[in-house]
Amino acid sequence: MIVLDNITKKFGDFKAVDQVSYQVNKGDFFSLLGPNGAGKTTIIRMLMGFIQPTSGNITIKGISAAETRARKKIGYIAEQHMIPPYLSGFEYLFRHASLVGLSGRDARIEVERVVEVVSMSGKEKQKSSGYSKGMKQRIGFAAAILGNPELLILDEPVSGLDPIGIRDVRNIICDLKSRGVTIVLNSHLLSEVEKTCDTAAIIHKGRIVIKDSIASIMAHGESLEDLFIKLTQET
Amino acid sequence: MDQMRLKSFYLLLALSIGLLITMRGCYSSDYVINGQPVESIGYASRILFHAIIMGMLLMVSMISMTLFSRDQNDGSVYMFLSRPVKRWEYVLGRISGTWLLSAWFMLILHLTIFLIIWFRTNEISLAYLGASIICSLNLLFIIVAVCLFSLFIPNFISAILAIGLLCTGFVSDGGYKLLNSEMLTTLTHSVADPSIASWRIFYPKLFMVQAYADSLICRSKFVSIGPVHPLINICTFIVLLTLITLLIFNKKEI
Ligand SMILES: Nc1ncnc2c1ncn2[C@@H]1O[C@H](COP(=O)(O)OP(=O)(O)OP(=O)(O)O)[C@@H](O)[C@H]1O
Ligand SMILES: [Mg+2]
Repeated sequence: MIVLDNITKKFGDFKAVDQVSYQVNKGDFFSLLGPNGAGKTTIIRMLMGFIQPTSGNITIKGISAAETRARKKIGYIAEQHMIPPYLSGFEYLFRHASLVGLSGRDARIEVERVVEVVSMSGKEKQKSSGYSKGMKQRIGFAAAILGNPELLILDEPVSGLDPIGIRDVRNIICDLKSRGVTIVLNSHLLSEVEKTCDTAAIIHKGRIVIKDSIASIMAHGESLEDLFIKLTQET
Repeated sequence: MDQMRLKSFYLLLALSIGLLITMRGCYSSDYVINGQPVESIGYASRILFHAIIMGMLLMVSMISMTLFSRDQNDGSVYMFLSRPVKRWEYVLGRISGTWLLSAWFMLILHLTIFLIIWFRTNEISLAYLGASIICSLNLLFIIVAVCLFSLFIPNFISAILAIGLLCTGFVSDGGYKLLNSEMLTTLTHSVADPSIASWRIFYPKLFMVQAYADSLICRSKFVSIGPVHPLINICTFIVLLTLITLLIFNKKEI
């Protein structure tokens, strides 16, 4: 589904991502872990085509990530999801629906469905400038799952969510995974990752320090947290 | 056209129309010289025609300087570009949205004057509206120019730069037009220096577009500067600047 081939991204002289290669298969639930500033968001932004790698190739279903076609069936939520303040949650989602090709009644039904899924019913008509951080994140998540995506790219989707919100998002993600959706997740919540993901990579200073299935990582007898601390603190 | 909060747009429009109506006494063609009314379309309404355009040019340069940066700050750009929307579609959508909105705004203001003239003198001057539409090309030029500049330099400076571009053209072409005006040439029996600097010939002809529109209104002969018609000049510039903007935005990191 996703292939990163020797990706390097420089900002000026600074290497934010350094020769990263990995592959995410269809239906996989892949998680990118790493300390603050490790380069996780940078990788996601390259996947979305917002920025271009300095060297290397990224393909999604065989199509270069820079191409518009690659984003046909992708749901995306940003680290701090921004919703234009002059739009209500409903209007925002409705725009997303039209951008994925839904219109009129179909669009409205789909928007109402995702609003319901993220428990924002009744608040979706309010202007988003009046939303709390968690409410914005919920609407962002609703936008990501709108229109049956085949691939979900989630950059810290639960940051700012209350425990119930976190549980809800976990349930939705697991439900989508069971329906064959491929998921790429950036997260700091290692316990969540342990519970839900298939494979994980830990990235440190732009380089992948370990990449394996959660099962074999756990087979070492260490918790993901111990491993994370060990790997990211020794260098 | 997300970028325009519609409410404030209508408020501004209503205010401007109100202003024009209260000023109606000043510019309807009641000027009488030697017992004969001066032209059916008064000078004052022509002056107002250009004043409105100048106001609009200032307004669009202020609006378009934040067109891209505001979208980035409030997340609109990610809304579009995280979906299968091509970057050029996004850029053209933003530019044309702003243009259509401002051209429509300007047309309504000109329409107000058109109606006032019509009620007062029973004279229908469709050329007045046609001229307004022609001059909306100037708005488009400024929008594209400011958008392009704002990709390189701070927003406010890009607006100032575009206005500077505009003023330079006005001084250059305005000066030329003044020297070539019938009154002066008949007075001095001289033609203005035919060897003008080539940059003045190829410079964006914003002033000449307005002069051309003006000549349509008062049905006078239009003298251009250089061999190229100002409409062709300005359209070429618009296409060129748009292409550069698209190329640069395509590579931009968002
Ligand atoms: N546009 C940019 N210009 C310069 N440096 C940047 C830019 N974007 C990111 N960086 C740098 O790249 C590095 C990686 O940033 P990135 O946002 O990918 O980290 P992250 O792993 O997502 O961290 P976090 O867990 O805090 O979200 C950081 O050191 C950051 O300062
Ligand atoms: Mg990040």
